[in-house]
Amino acid sequence: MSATDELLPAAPRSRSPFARSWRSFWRKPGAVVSVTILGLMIVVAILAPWIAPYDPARMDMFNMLSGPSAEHWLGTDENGRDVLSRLIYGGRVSLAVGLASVTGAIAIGATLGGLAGYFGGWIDSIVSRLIDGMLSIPLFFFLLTTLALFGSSLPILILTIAATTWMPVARIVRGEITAIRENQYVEAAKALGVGRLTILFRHILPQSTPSIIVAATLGIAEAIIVESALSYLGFGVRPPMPSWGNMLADARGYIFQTPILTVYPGALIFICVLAFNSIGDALRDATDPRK
Amino acid sequence: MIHYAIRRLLESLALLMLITLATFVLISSAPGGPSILIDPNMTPEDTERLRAIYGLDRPVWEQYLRWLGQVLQGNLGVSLGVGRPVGELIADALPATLLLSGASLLVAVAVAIPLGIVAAVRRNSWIDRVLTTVSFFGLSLPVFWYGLMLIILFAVLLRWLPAGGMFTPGQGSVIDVALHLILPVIALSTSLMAELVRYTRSAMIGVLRQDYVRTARAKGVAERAVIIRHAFRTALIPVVTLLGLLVPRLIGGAAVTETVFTWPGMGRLAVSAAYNQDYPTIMGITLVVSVTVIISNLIVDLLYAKLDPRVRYG
Repeated sequence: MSATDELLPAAPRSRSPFARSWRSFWRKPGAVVSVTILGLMIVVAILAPWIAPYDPARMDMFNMLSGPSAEHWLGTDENGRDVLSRLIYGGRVSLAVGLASVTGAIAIGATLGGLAGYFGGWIDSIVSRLIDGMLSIPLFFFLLTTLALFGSSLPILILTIAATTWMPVARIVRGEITAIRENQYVEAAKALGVGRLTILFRHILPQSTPSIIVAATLGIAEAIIVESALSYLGFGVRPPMPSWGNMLADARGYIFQTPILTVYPGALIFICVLAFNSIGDALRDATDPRK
Repeated sequence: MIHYAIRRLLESLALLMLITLATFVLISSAPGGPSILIDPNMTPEDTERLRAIYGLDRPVWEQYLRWLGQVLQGNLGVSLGVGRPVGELIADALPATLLLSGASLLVAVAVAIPLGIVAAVRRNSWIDRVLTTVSFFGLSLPVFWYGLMLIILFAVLLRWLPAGGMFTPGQGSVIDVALHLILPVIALSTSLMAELVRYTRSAMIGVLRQDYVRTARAKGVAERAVIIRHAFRTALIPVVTLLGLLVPRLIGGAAVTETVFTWPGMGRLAVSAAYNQDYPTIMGITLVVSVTVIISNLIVDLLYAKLDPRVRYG
């Protein structure tokens, strides 16, 4: 090997870390199946008004709790509403609330985690204490209280879920930033006179995007579970707007007559959460540089 | 050790103050403020008088200090929903919740740790694959739906077990309560189990790679002893940490499980208190639940010190 060989740029064949992660992700069968299922769910949710066979709120007092039929593929509920249409619209609500809550959680978590990791010192100790404190108490009661007192409109529901699920994101971002801020390009940006907040938000935070994406994917799963649990208890999405959680709550009253009605919405929550979790797991493995 | 314990105790008290203060401020800032028994026949003057009696016309900090003062004297106030002292309501509900979550934690630990060890020792075997897959599914199960499915299968269709409640009215023998406990414990412990299996497995795999485990094997220590006495003892340390982190989730999960199985515990009390906007009860539950969690975290920390010879609290 001659000296010039060593000076040559890396061979064009070697792949970027992104390409490597991308390929490793698609090699996992679980991840592929999950992406397909979720993609389908999201398309159906977006196209709900065109796909759903009936208006999800249309009642039919002469056709209540009927079994599957040619007109109503999955039957009707206790108000004679079409179950399939309600599941389709319910998925829309559950997915939208999950996505919006996670967006909020990332905004809070990345900001606080970023500030703590970059500035250290007292900011770091306050944020870290806050994270530890909030992780050590059951926030479920806090959620119930807030929604009971402030009403559970969608914006409040999303904000409270975001306000109670940002901690894992903050913890991850804080850890990464602490390592990244020692890089020389950060030093260089400082020397150029770039403001500290600009350095943080423009140059450092984007570096932790892969970890944030992983946390977000797992966070959506968590947010969907929280939303449906709250809706199940009557503190989340309020009827007549269907969500998988409140459909389950309605069906609960008829477990002796039509137990099958409790199966559909719960199974969809389960599949959806499972898919997000498995994508999150696969992404974490794929973006882990040690693998 | 003593210094450490005192510092932790002070920190816990500060956390407790913060939690209750935050809840108090939250309640006071609700639109219209904390409502009091709304009787349609009440005139605005009556409402004002009631607000004055409950001290709701005073500034928030004064209300909080008054509440705190009462709590220090052991008085949690009177429920606005049912008119009974909050202390009594909680004293009725707390044992049920402790029974349910304690039993679930025990079952989860007893089942999951051996399974996690087996999965780690037989890594990549079929049993490992099955355990890893099943526990991954278990993590994603929504407890309220899973609970309903258990009720439909075992109570409605098979009629083997009761569908809800803590005992058959008029009975209440140990066996009767135990039968009522089975389904809620399965529902609540499954996700804990799933998490514990995964965690024990990865902790054990990490430890089994260590040199000292190889040394023990080379010395001719029996495989069983290597796994239990040498490897597991070390792997237990991160597992105990996880247990501490799981406790808040256990309590939150217990609240949902209680509602599904009409189990007469703190979770159901909290749900009905929230419905009625019964703020003395909400405050009482927040306080008692936080104390329970803080105590369990303290226990975990002390266990940690006992298990890990490297940890010395200065």
